[in-house]
Amino acid sequence: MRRRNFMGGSAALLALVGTSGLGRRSARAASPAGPVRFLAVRTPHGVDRDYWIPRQGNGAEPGAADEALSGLSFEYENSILDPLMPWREQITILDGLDTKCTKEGTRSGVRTAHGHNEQGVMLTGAQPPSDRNGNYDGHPSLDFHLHALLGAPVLLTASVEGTGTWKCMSYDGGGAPRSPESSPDALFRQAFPEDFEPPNQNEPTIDYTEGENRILSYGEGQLLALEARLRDVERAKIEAHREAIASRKTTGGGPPVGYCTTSGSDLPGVGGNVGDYTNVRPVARAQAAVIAQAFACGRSMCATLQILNDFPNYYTDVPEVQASGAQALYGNGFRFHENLVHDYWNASGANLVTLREGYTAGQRWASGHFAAVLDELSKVTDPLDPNGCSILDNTVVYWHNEFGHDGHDNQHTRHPVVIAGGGGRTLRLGRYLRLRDIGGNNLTNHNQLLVSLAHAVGRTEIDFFGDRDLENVAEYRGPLAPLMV
Amino acid sequence: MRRTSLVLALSFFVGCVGSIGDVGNQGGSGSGPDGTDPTDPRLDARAWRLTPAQYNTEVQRLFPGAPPVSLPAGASEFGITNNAATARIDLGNVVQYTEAARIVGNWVADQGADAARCDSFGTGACVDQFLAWFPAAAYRRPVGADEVAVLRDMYDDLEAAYDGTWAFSAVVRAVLLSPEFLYRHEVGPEGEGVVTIDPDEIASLLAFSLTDAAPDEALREDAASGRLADPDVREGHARRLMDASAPIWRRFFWEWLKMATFRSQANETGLEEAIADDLVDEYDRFIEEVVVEERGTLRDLMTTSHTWGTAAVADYYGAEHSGDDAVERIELDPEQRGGLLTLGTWLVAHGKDGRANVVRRGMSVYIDAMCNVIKPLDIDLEDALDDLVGADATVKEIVEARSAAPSCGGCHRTSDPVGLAFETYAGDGRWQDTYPDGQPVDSEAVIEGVTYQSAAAVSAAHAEDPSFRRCLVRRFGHFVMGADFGNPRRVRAPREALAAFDESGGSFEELLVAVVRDPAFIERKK
Repeated sequence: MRRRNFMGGSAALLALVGTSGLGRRSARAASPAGPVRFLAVRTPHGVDRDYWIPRQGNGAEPGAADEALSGLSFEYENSILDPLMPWREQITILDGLDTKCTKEGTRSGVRTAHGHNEQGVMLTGAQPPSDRNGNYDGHPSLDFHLHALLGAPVLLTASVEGTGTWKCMSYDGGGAPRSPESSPDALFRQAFPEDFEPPNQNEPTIDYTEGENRILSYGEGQLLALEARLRDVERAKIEAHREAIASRKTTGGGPPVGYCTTSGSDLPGVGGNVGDYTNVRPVARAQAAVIAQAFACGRSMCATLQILNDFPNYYTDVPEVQASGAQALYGNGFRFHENLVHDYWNASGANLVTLREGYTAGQRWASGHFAAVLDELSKVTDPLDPNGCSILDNTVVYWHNEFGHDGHDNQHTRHPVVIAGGGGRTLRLGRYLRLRDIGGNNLTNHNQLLVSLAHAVGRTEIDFFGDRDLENVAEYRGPLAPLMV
Repeated sequence: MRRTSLVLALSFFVGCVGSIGDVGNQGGSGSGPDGTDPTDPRLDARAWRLTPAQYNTEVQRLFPGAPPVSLPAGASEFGITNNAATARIDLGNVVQYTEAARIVGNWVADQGADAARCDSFGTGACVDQFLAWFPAAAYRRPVGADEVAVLRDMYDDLEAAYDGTWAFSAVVRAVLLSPEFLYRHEVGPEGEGVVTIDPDEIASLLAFSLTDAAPDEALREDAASGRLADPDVREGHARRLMDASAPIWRRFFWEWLKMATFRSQANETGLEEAIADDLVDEYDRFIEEVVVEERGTLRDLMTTSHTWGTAAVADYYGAEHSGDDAVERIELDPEQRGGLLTLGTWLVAHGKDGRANVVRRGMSVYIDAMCNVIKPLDIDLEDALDDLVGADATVKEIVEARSAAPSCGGCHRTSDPVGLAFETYAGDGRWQDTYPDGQPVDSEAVIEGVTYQSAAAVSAAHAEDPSFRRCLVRRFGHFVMGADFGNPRRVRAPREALAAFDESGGSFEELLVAVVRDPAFIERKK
């Protein structure tokens, strides 16, 4: 029995554009014109800003607050972003972005500091909860919110290790953390059912829309009846279920399915067990490849990818970190997060030099993961783009860290953020943007960045994203102006 | 550089000044809406989504051999993963449910008569035979003729539009997407106020809570006769189902004691994958034997100095084994091991590579096992470190300094001595007399004026500790009911369950019976 009912009735087969990668950094001849997807990536351990920013040829900081990356360099000693040098045209560096909302403290039950569980702020824009269960009290993360608006079937929530709801990236409509999937094989199966087959232009397609809607309609009446018998949280829960079912009917499965070449049997064959630092990069690549395939096949429009947490301790084993001599300072108990991240700020003299070398080496390794993600996205041609550009060209990527750095660790200030992809249609690419006086206290807010990202995927009606208590505060509204085209 | 441990400790908890004590009504529906009595333990009427495991078990019950499907877990509360309020189906995960139903529906249609339990697949008679059993089985309640008719109409319409196989699959999919299948209802009759939930709802609550599966024949019969509102009848079922409850107890202790970190910490501490697998099997067997087979008490759980495992497990503990691959009872050194907290699984789950285990294990007992909370504050960890100890301090000196510090001592003077007692276990849970750097382990711990020479002794003391017992009862109620009733000191139902638990000498069976006998088990507010 051959079934294509997963495609819904809106399947519109586009012209075959091929799937071989156009090559890194996009040798495209035309501007990207596909639907814009959203991917958020997070890595741990903060950064030292001095070694994270691009520099001028003489080693000095960028001379202007808004400067082309083409005139700057990541290639200097201890540079963290060195692996991104080949991607300069397709990334923008945001220097001096703060999660200012963290400090607002507008109601009880919120914690006015960043660090650890408060990482959810980066995508929810909401004030972090004071307990450590990580429930953001009705504030979904941006990926969840956009997924609901963009209508593709699957919201992908991936990780390289770091499963569980501790330090999550993605939060559901109730603000509860969504556990990421660490296995590329399992992530693939979420995106592609076993019997998924790429559309065949030469085969007539049966429109099952009416039948599919009939199936979905069956439970709607039961949900309504159940909803009416409940109250408060329970009623809201069933209402959310009913709305989700209704959305499946109205969208018919999301955006049109392009001529992807992935079938349900194309499991990547990567189970996600890392075990050793050398496997981090391949697993990250495999996760990114699945996301790229799901984007290409119209199976997903939004995803998150969390590449490690502050544990396990793989960073410690990276050869460059080992070569720094940091381990000799600590012996067998050497840990990247505690010793390099937390001790770093209080060190001086020769110890500081050693720790800096180790710390930046580890973070450079993380930058390599991000470059690998970009590479995987760029390898896949977007079947929904009539100009044949890559998935990267049609995906806005938001790379952030678990915390900011402001002369200390676990800070809500100066979060290192890199925006990539998207073809420069809405967000400016190839820029270094210093958003504020780095040494001053006039903090920016990242809520505006979240609005910018929403605009980038076409949801320009969104003028605010974040904490309900800040919705009417003018400075939190609107997009991040320096980033916008 | 010995400062490592303290930096680690402080960084993990950001700041250890703050309120200490029993958790209040942290979420859940135990506190009820505004204006109601906060000591009233009755939950709101609700619909409790099947867990991924329960969903797949249900599919197997209906269609043996059907492919397993991947579904999302709900968000956890205090480590407990099956919570009614947070297990949602919404825009973020609805496709996983529609896909799961499609996969199963197509599989059933492909199997034909065998899966449909009919004589001639593809005929109207087969559809009638199928609808005579399937909806009722899936909904775990009798269904009316009108409900069957709706499904039959759906089949007829879709069979005409497409074909019989697609239509048959569609009927299966529709039922598997129905809230009658996806949720365990606890709603009761129409009306407002406090109601007793329906007999079929009680049967499902009992069955899933105690066995993670749908009601069996005996429960269905008592539901049909309306007897399940009788606490004696519920008690009878609880005692009967205790034999099948091992998976529930395994998951409860695993979640309550936050052992989900076992795999990541095994990896970090260098524990070999094979022995890690064996230790999980050992944990499963230990819980089954002590709690279910032997109907043991909390004291048994916390003091038993034997376990069950392979020769590799015996070697891990430095114990004797007959030498083959069979799982057998292993006698442990009672001076070294006694109870659940001295098993490899708990020790590794809260272990680290290095010397930070005092804080991790001590805080795990303090926070997870005793229901204390720490409210992190902004303090400068480096300054706090500099103020406390010099670079060459031993683990014990660090513990003493931290406990004496005004900023940290509030929590650490209670938690650190417990963690110190467990210093005789390395990060990978193996016994150690010395640290890797050759320094001797000094694990003598003074807790509330009493000196303990071993972790086994500390573990035994916890079995008698009121806070520990109170926390266990509270979390078990949360686990069984999927919602936090609240503090046993303030809320009636957990208070009475605690009393029953204490009076029975810490019997887990009596705790279970007390929970299911309570009116709050079957009453809901509407």
